[in-house]
Amino acid sequence: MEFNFAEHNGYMLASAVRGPDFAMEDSSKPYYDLHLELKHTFTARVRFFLGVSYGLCEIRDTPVIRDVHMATKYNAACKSESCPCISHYLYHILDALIILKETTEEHHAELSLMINLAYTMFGGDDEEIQYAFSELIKYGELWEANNEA
Amino acid sequence: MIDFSDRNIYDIATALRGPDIKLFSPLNSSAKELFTARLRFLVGCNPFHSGFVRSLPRIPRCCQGFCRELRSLDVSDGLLVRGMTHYLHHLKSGFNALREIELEATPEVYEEIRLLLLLLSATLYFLGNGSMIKVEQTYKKLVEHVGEED
Repeated sequence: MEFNFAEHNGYMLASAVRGPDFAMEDSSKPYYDLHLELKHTFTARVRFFLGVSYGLCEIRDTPVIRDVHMATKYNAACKSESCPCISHYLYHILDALIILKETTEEHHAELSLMINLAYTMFGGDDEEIQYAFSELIKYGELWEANNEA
Repeated sequence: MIDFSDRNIYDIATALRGPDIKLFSPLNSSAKELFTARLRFLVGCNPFHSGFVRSLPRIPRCCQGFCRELRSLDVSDGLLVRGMTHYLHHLKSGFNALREIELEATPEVYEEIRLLLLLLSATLYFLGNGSMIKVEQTYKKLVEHVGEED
């Protein structure tokens, strides 16, 4: 078995394979399942790019995003007092996406949109985040339409 | 390229990142140094890229308050407990994977891994029902095996 976590890229890619640790406690809040939507949008797709095939974890094998309220929930969660530590998770996701774009030949358009979304989530306003997410959703819809035809 | 389709590699990978929970709490730091930093060293992570890497088995000073910090954890804080549980479960899978792969390690290191796994199990048990007895007993056994930094 070969693995190399000593190199920067190996470590940073591996660090993005686990989903977010935080989970919302209060199910009455509209963003209580934000962690699941972040996992669906980012982690599950990164796992696919990396070739993870472990059957019990979520892997998103197409660009299609089924949970389309992530940005709205993220914006609401960031305004709440009990906002969890999302930035640590996002930092690792962003680094892995950048490495994937730099080191692989495939999925560049989608990776660019995902990188833009992750960047925006660090410092953008609500509208910018919403826009970046909608662009990623549109990309998935276009992919689906092309593959249905 | 790392083969992420391998189950053991997946389990190790999911244990490499530190916790995404209250980054500056003492428990967060001691758990990261005690477990994550040691696992990173055992799989060959480079501190230049991956932050904390614990190359020596003995318990560093910054982790010696682990039991005390755990005892003072507000177990009614569901957000914190669920986050911690998720993080520790992945660490447990990661250390279990170390026993499956061909790690170039001495029997002493394998015993340390076994004790760290027991401590992870005891900590998860505490998060579930609030009993610290197993955590304290296992931490003591770990200290007897690897020693503590003065």
